[in-house]
Amino acid sequence: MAAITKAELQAQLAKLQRSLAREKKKTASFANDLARSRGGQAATAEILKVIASSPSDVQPVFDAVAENSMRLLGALSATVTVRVGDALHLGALTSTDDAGDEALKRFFPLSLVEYRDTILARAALSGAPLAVSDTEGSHGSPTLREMGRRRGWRSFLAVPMMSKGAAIGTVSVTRREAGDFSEHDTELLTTFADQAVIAIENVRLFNETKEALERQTATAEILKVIASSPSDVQPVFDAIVRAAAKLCDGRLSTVLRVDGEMVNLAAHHNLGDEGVAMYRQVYPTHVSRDLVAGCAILDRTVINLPDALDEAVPTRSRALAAAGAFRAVLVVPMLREGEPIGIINVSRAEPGPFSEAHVNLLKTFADQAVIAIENVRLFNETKEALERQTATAEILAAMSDSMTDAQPVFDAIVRNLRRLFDTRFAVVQLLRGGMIEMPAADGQPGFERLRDYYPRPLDDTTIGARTMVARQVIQTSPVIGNPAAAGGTQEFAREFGFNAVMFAPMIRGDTVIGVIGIAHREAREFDDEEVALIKAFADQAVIAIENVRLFNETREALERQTATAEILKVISQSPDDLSPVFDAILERATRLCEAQLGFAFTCDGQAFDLVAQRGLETERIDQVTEALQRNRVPGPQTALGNISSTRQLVHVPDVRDTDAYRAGDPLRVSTADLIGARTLLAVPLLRDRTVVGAVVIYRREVRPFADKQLGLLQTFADQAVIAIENVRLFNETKEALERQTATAEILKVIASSPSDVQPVFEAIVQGAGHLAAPCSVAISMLEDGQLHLNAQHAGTATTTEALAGTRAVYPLPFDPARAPSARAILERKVIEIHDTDDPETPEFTQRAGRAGGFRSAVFVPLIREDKGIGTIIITHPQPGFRLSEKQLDMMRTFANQAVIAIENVRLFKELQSRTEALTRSVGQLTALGEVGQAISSTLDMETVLKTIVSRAVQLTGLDGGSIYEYDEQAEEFLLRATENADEDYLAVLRQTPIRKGEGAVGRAALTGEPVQISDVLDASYQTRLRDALIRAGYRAVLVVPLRREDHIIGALAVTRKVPGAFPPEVVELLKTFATQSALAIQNARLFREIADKGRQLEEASQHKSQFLASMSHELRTPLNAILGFNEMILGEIYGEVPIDMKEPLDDIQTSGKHLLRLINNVLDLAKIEAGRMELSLADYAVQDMVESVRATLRPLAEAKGLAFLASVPNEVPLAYGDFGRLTQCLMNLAGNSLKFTKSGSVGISVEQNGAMLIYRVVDTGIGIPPDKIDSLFTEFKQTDASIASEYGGTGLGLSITKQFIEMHGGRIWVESVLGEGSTFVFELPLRVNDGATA
Amino acid sequence: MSGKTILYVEDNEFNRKIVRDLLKRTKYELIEAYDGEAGVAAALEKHPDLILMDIQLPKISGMEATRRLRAEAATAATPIIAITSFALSGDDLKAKEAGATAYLAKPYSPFDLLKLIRQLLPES
Repeated sequence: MAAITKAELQAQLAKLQRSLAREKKKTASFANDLARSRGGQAATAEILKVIASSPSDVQPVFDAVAENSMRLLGALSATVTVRVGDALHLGALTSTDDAGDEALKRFFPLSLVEYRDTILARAALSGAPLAVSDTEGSHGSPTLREMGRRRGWRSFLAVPMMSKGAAIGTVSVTRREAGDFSEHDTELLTTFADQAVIAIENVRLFNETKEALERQTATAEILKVIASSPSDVQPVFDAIVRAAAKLCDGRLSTVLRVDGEMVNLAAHHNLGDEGVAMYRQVYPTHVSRDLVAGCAILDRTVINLPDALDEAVPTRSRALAAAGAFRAVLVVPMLREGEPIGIINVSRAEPGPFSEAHVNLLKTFADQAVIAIENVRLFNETKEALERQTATAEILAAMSDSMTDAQPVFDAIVRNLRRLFDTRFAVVQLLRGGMIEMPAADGQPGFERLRDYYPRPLDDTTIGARTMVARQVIQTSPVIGNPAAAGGTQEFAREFGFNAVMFAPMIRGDTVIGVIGIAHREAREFDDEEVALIKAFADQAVIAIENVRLFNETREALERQTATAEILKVISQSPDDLSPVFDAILERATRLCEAQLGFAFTCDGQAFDLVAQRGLETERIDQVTEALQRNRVPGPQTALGNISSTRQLVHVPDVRDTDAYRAGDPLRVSTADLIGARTLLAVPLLRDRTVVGAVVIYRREVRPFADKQLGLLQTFADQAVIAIENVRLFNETKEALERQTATAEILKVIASSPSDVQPVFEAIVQGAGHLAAPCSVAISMLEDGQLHLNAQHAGTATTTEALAGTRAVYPLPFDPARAPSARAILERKVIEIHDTDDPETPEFTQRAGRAGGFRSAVFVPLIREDKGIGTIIITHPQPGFRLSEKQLDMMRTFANQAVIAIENVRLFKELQSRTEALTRSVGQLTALGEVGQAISSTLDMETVLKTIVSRAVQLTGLDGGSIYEYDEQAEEFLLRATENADEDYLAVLRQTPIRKGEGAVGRAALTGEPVQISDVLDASYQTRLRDALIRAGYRAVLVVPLRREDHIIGALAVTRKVPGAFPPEVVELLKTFATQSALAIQNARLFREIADKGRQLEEASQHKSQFLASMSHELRTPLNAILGFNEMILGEIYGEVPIDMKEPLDDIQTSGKHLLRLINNVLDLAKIEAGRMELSLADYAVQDMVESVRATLRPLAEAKGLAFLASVPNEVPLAYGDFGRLTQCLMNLAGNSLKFTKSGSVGISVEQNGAMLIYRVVDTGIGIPPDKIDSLFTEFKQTDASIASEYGGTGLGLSITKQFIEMHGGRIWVESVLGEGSTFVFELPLRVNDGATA
Repeated sequence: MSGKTILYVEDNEFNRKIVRDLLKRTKYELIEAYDGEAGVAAALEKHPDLILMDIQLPKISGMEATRRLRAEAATAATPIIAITSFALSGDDLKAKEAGATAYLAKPYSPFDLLKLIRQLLPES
């Protein structure tokens, strides 16, 4: 064995300590990873929980995402941004420090156009994660570098938040140190980003729902106000401005009304006192273009003005905006039959356009305002009519028994005529629609038969008719045989027995409405008095008839008004169902329009669907419904067809008398023939000029509808539109709520089930089944090339057998030609099967349909990272089923959630397995660390080996283990340490040491590789130890050789009581332990050797010191004699010295002294080396020291003709140190300088620098070559061997000087220019610490 | 009238001769001893006024001899100049601890020695 020096031992120990430190560091880093992984799964669940619990506010989610991203990625900071338009806004950040936070906040909003090169913008625009491993490196942008410096980071990772293929924001993290981010980091951050997206979607959905609800509530409230305030429009306006300001996010709202050419403020909300005063100054005013409202009125358009202070805005409006402190203005005109009757306005303090939703809402309010105004107008007209009527009625009360019906009036007229004129006959005839009717006739019995001849056309055949045409009283006598008398009247005269008649016209305004007439049996003239009487009578009759008509009109108006109010009530009470509203409308429409049949339709733009009917006989309902269904798309000539194309009211007096009927249009024919409809009135339901439905009423007789009835039906239609809108709004709200609920439910399940995807699948099929009732829903996942059925939900129409039938189909091969689900997965799109019985449908699907009891199916793919991984399958028992676009959207959402859940679970499992692996490796590393510690903390080999075998057994979970050391001489393995070893087995082992090549241990030693015996009972395993092993119950043995370079130095053996191969990781682990063991054994051996060597060295060193001390003495004694005698000779003790002898005697003295210095230096070095040099510390004066050196060396300087200067400032205080040694040092340096300087000067200077003293020795000597400076202070070194011969010297002086100065806690160095001189500087504490001495 | 007596304990003849030659021209009387034991015996017997004690001596060292002499009443106050060849820091302290009055490193200058002797023991 080569000799081992102390330095080698030190190196060995240092190596061990380094390896231990590395292991500790590794353990710490892995433990860190472990903590992070454990945190990862917790964080994912935590964020999902926050999402589920915060449906209305995205901030807590952003905060949670930022916080967890930072924590789990071990980041310095994390940031969440959200994209709004073309800019990224700061969503959340984790704090670094106030200044850094401020800097970051100032950075936002970040324009994606202007700053498209920033990493955040690039991540958002590219939709891909981006990392910068070092912002200070060449890839970091200046912006990023600047931000990094402010916030204290060097590396940066950003991932986009992707929603529907577009980035809607980013999540980013930073680290303090430069370096790459791992794939795992990116993956984890992407998961967080996905969760942020879910949260944003959720909040959007929630807010939409909330807004829709608010809108709906407001609309219903205004309808209520309209219904409850039929006579006054003001409460309606007040309600509208309140609701408009609130729902359109406005600060203030106004309603202006047009009154002729003027426009006036009708209602306002939040205008403030000043604003009201300002408005009052402006309004009322002429409708003109110098106001925004005026423009909206004149142009009949909505004006959405982002900034009222803009220069293009009319000046008066600008002034109003300035006074009212508003900027954004929205004005919507109120149009009645296309005519502007006012505007509604909402204004905001901030500039910027109003959203489309707000515009639409304000339009709705405008419609409602129009209805309210109409209502009130109707009501007021009715009231005025009533008042008029009441007055007239009082006057005529005496004449009329009834005010509601004209008949009693007519009866009274004929009765009074007969009484006044004492005639046998009296009649009242009325002209209605070009025909003459006879509502009353009185006379002799039998005279009433005259009524049978009426109605009759207005012609020349009767005198009554002639009177209507002539508009004056006509009398004829005789009638019979009078050629001037009208023919018809002559016939009546003969039949009913009269011969003189007189008729007087009833004229209202300019219109003849009828005649009254009297007849006498005998021919006679009517005198003037009688003519005047009948005229007066006719006038009174007109008044009476008019009265009744007026009254009836009033009553009808009232009824209409009541009906309208009632329908509004029904609308506001029935927000979710159209049928009560349509029922109410049809009931009143048919009643008030005197129609027998009524139908209400909705229209999807092309086809009409019946939603309500009235008056149809029960037995015909099915027939009619079917006929209407067959003809959903009406022919162009039908009423519905007309409405579709013209959006106008259609009035058909006789449906049989139309081209459509004659041409055999199926709808026209069926309505005419099936239900006996004759006169038709149809009005469109219009929303935003789009036909959304129609109301049609029929009479079963040919009788055209009156104008007012047309108007009435139109009003009803308008109300129906409101109802439809309401229901649509309500349903949207409900759907949104349902969607939101379903989504939240599933999120909850995802959050509560981070390790298992099955509950999520179950929740999804449940939720999807609920949304797409009565469909069945299943989830099928692609796995190992097969499609598996993972979850199933039975729709209401699906039987247990059908469910089982579906289950039986799975698993099925992944073949797109056969299974549509495979196609959906492959093509990543929704696949629809409309009929499984269709021969086009793949045969396999046909069978699946029969087995699973469905005819239509929709397959929605689950897509992860652009790859289909499964499908949601929605099936329906009937063919032709389709999901609505909304339902499909929801299914896609479900699919996304399933993917998220799968991702979550995958991540969770990965984390879990990583966690387990980390737990394992942390255990291993901890054990290895302990072993390492044992190795470096104790050199007792047995202890170390015991630690190793104990940890190895503990960590691998094996039953026992032992470590052997190999004795190379004896070629035997000696047992060194055991763990859990069987005593009997140990006894055998100790008795019979294993030989090289014997058994598993011996074999491992031969091959140098691990050897395992998977079963000791196996006959192939034969060794002396076999029986002992079997007795101890061991079945499997694993041996790993301990190697050091190429030598086998031992073996580590472990045993297990269960047979079988050892897993590779156990073998690997034991190899590591084997390495440690080898190291320990080697170390122990090395240490033993080194300790021996050390002792020898110690002894040798002592001998050397002793020898040197003796030598020193032995040399000094003769030297003392030489120098002593010489000095005495020179001192002329022995008599006068001849002059010639003086020089040689001086030379003796000099050489002797040089020899003495040599001896002293050798002795000093010996002492220093032996560690026995001690400083003799005491107070000393620096001045004294320098002076003594100067005094000693001055003769030498003078002899060489050198200037020799020494200076110490007086203020340098008393120093503390070894005066003698320091003097020696200074002497050495100054002596050297004098020695190596041929001309010029040598100087000594001292200065105090705080607690330090700095000594300088400056010369103008030969200088020192730069490459020699380093070795200058090494023993026996002079810069050049030749120098020694020229200048002399021991070569020990500088080395000793350096040692002494360092012993004082100081240091020495030299500055030199070759050929110019050197400066030796040493610096030491003014007052040396007592403990500083070596 | 007898001169003052100085005892020089030294095993080296040449060194003894130096001191002998040096003191020949003074009034001091010199007694010589060759080893530590003899030095102690001579001191106790002849009561010198000053002792020059070499440290590195046969039999017992100068240190030990000094300690013994300090323990004796007769020589407890006698000035002793220790002469050592070790000339290292600490030697002076050790010599003083042993009881030496003064210390001189070998090789010494004979004239310096004479100066020291005269300081401690005036010639007359």
